[in-house]
Amino acid sequence: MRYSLTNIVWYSEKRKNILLLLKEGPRDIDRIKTSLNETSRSIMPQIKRLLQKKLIVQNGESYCLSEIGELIVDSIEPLLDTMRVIEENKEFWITRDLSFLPQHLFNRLGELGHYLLVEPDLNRMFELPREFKNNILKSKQVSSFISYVHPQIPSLYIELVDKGVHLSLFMTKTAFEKLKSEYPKEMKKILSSSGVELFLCNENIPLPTLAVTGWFTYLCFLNVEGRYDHWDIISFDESALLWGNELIEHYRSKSERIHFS
Amino acid sequence: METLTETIWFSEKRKELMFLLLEGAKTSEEIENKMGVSWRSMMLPVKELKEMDLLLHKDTKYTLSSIGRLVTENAKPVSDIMGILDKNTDYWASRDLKTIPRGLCRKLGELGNFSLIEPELKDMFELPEKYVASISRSTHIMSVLSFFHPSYLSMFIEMASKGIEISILLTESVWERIKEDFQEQRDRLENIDNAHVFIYQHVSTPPAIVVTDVFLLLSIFNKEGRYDHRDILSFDASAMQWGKELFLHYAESSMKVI
Repeated sequence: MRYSLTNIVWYSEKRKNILLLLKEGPRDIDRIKTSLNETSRSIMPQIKRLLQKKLIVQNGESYCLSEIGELIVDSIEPLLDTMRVIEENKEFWITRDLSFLPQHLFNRLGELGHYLLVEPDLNRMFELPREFKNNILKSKQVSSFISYVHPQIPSLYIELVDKGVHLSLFMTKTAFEKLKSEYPKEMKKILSSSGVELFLCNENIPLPTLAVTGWFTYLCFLNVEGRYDHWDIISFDESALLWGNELIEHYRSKSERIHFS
Repeated sequence: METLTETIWFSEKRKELMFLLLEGAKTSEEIENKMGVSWRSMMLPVKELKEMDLLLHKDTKYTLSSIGRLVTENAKPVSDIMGILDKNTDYWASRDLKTIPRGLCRKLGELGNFSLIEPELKDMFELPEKYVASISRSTHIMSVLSFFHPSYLSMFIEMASKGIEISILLTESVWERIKEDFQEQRDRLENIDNAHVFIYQHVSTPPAIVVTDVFLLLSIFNKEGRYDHRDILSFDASAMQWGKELFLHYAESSMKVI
């Protein structure tokens, strides 16, 4: 009987794991057994199926992915990442408003990778989350987008400016007006610093906060009721940085740079 | 059902319904018609997808939830590429795919509903019939010629002289052959404003491509680097788009000579 690729790849966790393992490079049977914690008896039938389907090839003692095997692994990886991102915190994702994301970045949410969900702490609801504050102060370069004004944001910006951090600030006009009228002194200081660029976004984007630094991406979404419920995401994965930077670039294209003299 | 993997891949009906709803919200009648099944047989898949929070029922229509759309957008290309590779596993397993950029390889599913043309021995040097009929309906042509076939050249010249916009990309060796033995054709091309000829500047040999606004003909060499007369022909819009991207990829490392 001929098995379809769907059957070969998705109906057996073992086969899928062999394919993913071989993506790292050729392996002999002993290394495959050890890596996947299997016995010859449990793994050989699966290897045979993969050989028959031409997804892997055998070179002497070792097995490696064939070209179409590589192609399959390449194409399933984004889906596996996406499913993992969702399944790790399904309730969170079901209740998020993701409609503001441009299509290509929405499709690639799996690139957030191994993210952490930052839970709201009722006792510290009006402080910036520690995960955010501690990490951002260790950055050399910060790009951020905000559409809402956290009361501690101006003092955080000042702290960053004082440390000589390069800041690219993207914000909605509403957020900017609020900052200017409620924190005039702080804003004056921030905007007169040499390492600060300000961009005002023409659209009202329902994304409370996005911050991308050289080493992490931080995201606050609204929930489906349009409220900010203090559940945030932080990811240190390389792919999340690329994703976050693309989102910043997307907002750059919708923004106007404001110059201060 | 516990995992998303099971939800998507363990039932043809759930999977097809998710793919259908990528197009937009549908009523139960529309789902029945599009999937060619009775609503009764869709009730269980619908219920299961709802329980997994992938599907929403709003007013009279069924639609993907946001995570449903996210998963489906990522599952569709996987399903497409698996469909393509399943259809002709031996053909694909023996192809040299290294010359096709990775990004386009991943989108191989866009070849859609193609046919694999394998001529009988006696017809080995004829152009595929369907192809000859289709090229005359095209209003522009892009082609990579990585092996020399005299009929292609004369056909392109004929088309170009009718005013059809045509871009031909040749490997160095095919170009040498034309300069040596087909000086007359070369001169004719030179005199037609709407014909452009490029020489590929890279050592590797790209697959042969003919892509127009009507079809895509693609000849990928086998792993031994030989043309084994097996061609892919597709009339799907996504395949033509794919072929154009592939042509433009090679055109980037080419030099215009005519």
